[in-house]
Amino acid sequence: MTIKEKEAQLIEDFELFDDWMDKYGYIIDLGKSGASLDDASKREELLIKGCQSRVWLEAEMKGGKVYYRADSDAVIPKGIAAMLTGLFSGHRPDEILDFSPVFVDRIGLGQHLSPTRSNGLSAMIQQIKNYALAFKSKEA
Amino acid sequence: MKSNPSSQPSANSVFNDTQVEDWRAFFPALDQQVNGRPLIYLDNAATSLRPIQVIGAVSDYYSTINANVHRANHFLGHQSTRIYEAARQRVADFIGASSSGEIVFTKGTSESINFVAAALSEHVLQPGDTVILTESEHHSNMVPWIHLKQRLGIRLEYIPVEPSGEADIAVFERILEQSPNVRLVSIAHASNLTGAVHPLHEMTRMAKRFGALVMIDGAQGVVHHRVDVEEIGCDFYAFSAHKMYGPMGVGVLYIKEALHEMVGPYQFGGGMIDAVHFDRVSYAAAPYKYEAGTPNVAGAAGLLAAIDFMTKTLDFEAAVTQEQMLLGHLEEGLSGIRGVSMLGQGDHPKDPIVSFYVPGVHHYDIATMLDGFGVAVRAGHHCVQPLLRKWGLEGTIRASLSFYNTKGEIDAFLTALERVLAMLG
Repeated sequence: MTIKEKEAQLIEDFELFDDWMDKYGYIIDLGKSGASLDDASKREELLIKGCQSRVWLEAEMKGGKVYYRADSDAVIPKGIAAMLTGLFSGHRPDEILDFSPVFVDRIGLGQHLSPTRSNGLSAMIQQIKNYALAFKSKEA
Repeated sequence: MKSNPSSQPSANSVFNDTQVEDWRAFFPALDQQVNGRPLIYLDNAATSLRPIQVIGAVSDYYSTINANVHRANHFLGHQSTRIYEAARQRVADFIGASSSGEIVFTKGTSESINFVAAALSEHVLQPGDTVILTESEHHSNMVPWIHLKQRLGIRLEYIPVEPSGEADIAVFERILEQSPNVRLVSIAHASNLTGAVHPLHEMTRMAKRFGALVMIDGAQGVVHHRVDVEEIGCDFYAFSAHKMYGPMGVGVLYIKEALHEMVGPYQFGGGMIDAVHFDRVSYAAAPYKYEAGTPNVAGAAGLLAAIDFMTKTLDFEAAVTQEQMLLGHLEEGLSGIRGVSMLGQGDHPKDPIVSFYVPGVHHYDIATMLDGFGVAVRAGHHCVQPLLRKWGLEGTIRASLSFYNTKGEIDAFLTALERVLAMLG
C-alpha cells in the first residue's frame, strides 16, 4: 500500500466512531499497540522539540525503506505518533518527503489537535521528514 | 449599553443567580460554544475576559480619536493626550501612587520587570550584589535576573516555597542577614501556580530594614486585591491590563518618585527627550523619559475603562467574596476525586487558582480531553519550571477562576474531569 492508501484506510477506521471520546479511546489504543521504545531507547537526542509532552522518535533504514518507532509520556501524543509512524514506516525517503498527511482533519479531530506547538503534531511530521531527508542524502 | 445591575450585593454576601447572569452578560466571550458545548473558561490567570465597556473603549478610541499623543497641535491630538494622561492618573489612584508621574506605561508585566532589570543593571547593580526572589516566581520575574547573574555577576538567592505555596519567611530573614549587598527583593503579589498570596507588607518591611529596593510582580494580585503601593512600601509594582479585564499589550510599572533620579531610561528614541544634539542628549522628566516611541494609547484607554469597571461598575469586595466562594467549591470538589493531588493547600490567603496533578496521568492528556468538553484550563509548567522540578513534577493542570464563573460551571468541569480520568486512569 502507498502512504496515501494507508491514510485512507486510517480515515475509514475512524468513521466507525461518532463520539469524540471514542475517537480518543481509539487513538490511545493505537498508541498502546504501535511500535514503541523501551526505556533505554528514550534518549535525550531523540526528543522532539516543540511538544508539551515528551515525544521520542527513532528511525532506521532497511533495504532502502525507512522504519520509525516513537513513544511519549502522554497517551494522546503517543497515539498520534503511532498513527504517523504507521503511515510512514516502510516507505522510501522520496515517498515520505512528498506526502503531507490530512487525516487529523479528516477524522474529525482537527479542532482538537490543531497543528500548534501544543501537541507537536507538525513538529513530529517535520522530524519524520528530517530523518527521511538525512537517509536520502546518505544514499546519494 | 447595559446598565449597572441595580441590586447591589452587600460586601458580606455573594451574588444570587440573577446577579451572576447580569455580570456574565457584560462579557461577550462567555456566550459561545466550544467543541459543541458551552464554553467553561477556567484560564483566567492566563488572561481574563474583557467586558463590553473595555472592548467599547478600545473601539471608540480608534473610531474617533485615533491621533498620536503629545506635541500635537490639533483637536484629535489633544483628545488623545487627554485620554492617555487621564488613564495614567486613574492608574495612579487605583494603586495608591502619590502622583501620575510615578506611572509608566509598558507592554505588560514582563516588560515592566525587564525595565527594572535593565535600568538597575546600568547604575545600581554591581557584580557580587544580591537579588532575592522566591522559588515560585514566574519566569518573567526570574529570567531577567538569571540573565543579570550570567552577564553581570550578581548573586541570586531564592526564598524556599513549600507545596502549600507559602514562602519561608524565617529563611528569608536569614538570607537578608547573611547575603552581601542585598540591593533588591523581587516577589510576586500572588503565585500564578498555587494562588498563594505573599505577605507583602511584612516582607517589604523586612527588606527595607536591610536597605534593599522592593519590586512586586502584581500580575496575579492586582485583579483580586485593592493595591496600595504606599501602604506596602514597595519601590516598584508591575502589572498587566489583560489579567484585570483590560486589553492585551498594555501594562504598568509604578516607580516611586524618590527613585526617578537613580533610575534612568530603558529605551531611547522619540518622546522621551528634552533636547537632542548630534553628539549628546538630555532627557525629559519622568514618566516621559521612560516612554520612548508612540505608546499604546488605545490600550491605555482600555485600561482606564477596565479600572472604571472594577471600581465603579463592579462591587469589588462582593466579587472577591464570590471568587473565594467559588474557590472553596472547586477545592472541595477536587478533593473528592480519587487520585487528584492539589498544590497550594493551607490556611494562608489564596487567590482563586488551583493547580493539581494526577500521578500516572499526563497533564497534557487531561487538558486535551477537557477541551473536548468545552473546558479551558491550562496544563504545563506555568512558567515555574525550577520549582516544579524541585517538587518532582513535570507539570500540573491549573484551573483559575473569576467572579463571572459559576458553581454550575465548576460542577460541569468536575464531572468532565471524572469522565476523563476514568478513561485515562
